[in-house]
Amino acid sequence: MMVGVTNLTKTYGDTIALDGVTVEWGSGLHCIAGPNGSGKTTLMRVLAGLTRPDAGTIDSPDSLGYAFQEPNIYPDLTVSENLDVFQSLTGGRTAWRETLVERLRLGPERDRKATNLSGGFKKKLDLALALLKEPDALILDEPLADLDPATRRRLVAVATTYAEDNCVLACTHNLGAFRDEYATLTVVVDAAIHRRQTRSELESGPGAAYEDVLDDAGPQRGNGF
Amino acid sequence: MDVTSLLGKELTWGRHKFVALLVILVVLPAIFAYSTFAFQHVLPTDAPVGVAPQEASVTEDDLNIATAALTFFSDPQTYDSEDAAMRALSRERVYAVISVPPDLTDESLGTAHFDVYVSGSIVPYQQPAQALTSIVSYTLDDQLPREVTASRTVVGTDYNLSEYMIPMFLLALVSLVALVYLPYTFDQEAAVIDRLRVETSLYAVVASKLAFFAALLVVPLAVFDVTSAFAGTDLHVLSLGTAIVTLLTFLLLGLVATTLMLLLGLGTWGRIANLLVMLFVLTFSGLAYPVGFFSPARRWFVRQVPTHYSAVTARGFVLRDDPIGLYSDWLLGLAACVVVAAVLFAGTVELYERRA
Repeated sequence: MMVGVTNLTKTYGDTIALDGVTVEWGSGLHCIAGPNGSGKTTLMRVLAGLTRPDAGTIDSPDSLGYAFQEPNIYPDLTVSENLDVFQSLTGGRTAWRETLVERLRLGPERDRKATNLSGGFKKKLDLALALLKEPDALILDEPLADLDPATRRRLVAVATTYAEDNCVLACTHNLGAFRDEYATLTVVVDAAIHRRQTRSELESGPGAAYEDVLDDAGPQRGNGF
Repeated sequence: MDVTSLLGKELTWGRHKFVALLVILVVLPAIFAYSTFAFQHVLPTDAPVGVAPQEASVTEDDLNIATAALTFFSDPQTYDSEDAAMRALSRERVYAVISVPPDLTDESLGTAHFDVYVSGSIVPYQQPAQALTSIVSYTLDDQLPREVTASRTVVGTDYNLSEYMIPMFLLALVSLVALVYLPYTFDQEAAVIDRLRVETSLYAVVASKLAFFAALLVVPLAVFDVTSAFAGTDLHVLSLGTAIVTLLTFLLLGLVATTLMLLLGLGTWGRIANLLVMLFVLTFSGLAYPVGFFSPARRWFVRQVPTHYSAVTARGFVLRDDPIGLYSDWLLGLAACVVVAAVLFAGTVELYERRA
């Protein structure tokens, strides 16, 4: 399973969000990092078909799951009803749904309206919805933001297990949480791929490597980075 | 002190929401006021009336004489036959039909009797029609060598104002669902729209919503029907014709509402824009007052508004139990408007996905 883009360009008015990006990922867990506004979320949205590029080609599987930075869930429906809607829409297996509910510890919250869930449970429900159809590729956009350490570990564990047979792209600043799990680190800076390294090339771990990259790159586009 | 600080905060908020406040505090009252004052001009002195020959021997001169006399207090339209004039009466192109007898200038003949037909379904024109009958009688008696009499005949069921209002309430409800509740659901589901776009498409999302609410509209149709029957009226709310006009009107307004929501970001602005569209529809569709009661300019304008034809056909089906064929051209026109709205919606989806 390969996921990638070739010569991808996307602009919003005068702002270049992606500038001729070419990159490819296979099975496994891949971290994508970069300063705010560097273009990584745009890259993920293009891969998912949520944003149309101006130019370039996209190679992504038909079955792709997306866990959003802001959970995309029906606020007025309960956890179970959210799962029902998307299971019906995507044809997910009931046994797999129950596995997800159990792994993400959503069971006790089944009958609670999504709007009343804590931030962590909203994230977990969002991840469950993304995984419900057992996609060939999974995109995690800032999956660990604002989560307590226990919830963070649980989400990383679920993502890591899923990455054993599938491609998982984790767009995150929190690289330390993926220290022992990632296959590659891709750093996006100023609408382009700044650096791409495998785990073996990053002996000190992705978090430290990301810091190095930030130091190397210097101030960019006035975003304080 | 707290109140002063909080008032300061409200002022700051007000500066940020200046345009919204302008719409709510200035534009909406202006629209309300205008639409209210517009009714001051509801003086059906130039309401369109049909002039038709009673029989084949009526000459063009006879029709011209009658038409000339009617011009002083109405806007007469000449028809070749009574049938054509009565069809126009059903379609609310005219609000009365004056049936002209032959040989108006032959004083050797006895009394010339004019029939004035009015539709029992156009309740606001019932009283003016009584005055019209008297005026026809007096005016023509003065101007013609023959003695003239006129009598008023109500065509179809003679309804009261409450019954007349039922089709108006039905279309107002359709407008409310399409232009207020549907946008509200989009606003509520904006939080999940990206996931829906990953798993399916905006077209599927919108199609399912339109289908759901269109199906639900059978419920108010049935409620209106049952309530009307319970009240002992002769209304026909639950019929194929009413269902068709309700469906086409809902699809048209629903697509307009969805297009505006997508253009304006699935949020508050989209809902405000749709509220304005609803006020426009309620004001300029001739829902309550037949359009012929207004000035020629406003009459022309209202006849360019597709939902005006929804109002007339709904009255036709509910009050007059008219056959669908009588309005086939207007229903096809409404269907064409739905197609145009669907094309505009598709263009907006394209724009939305490029901007997303």
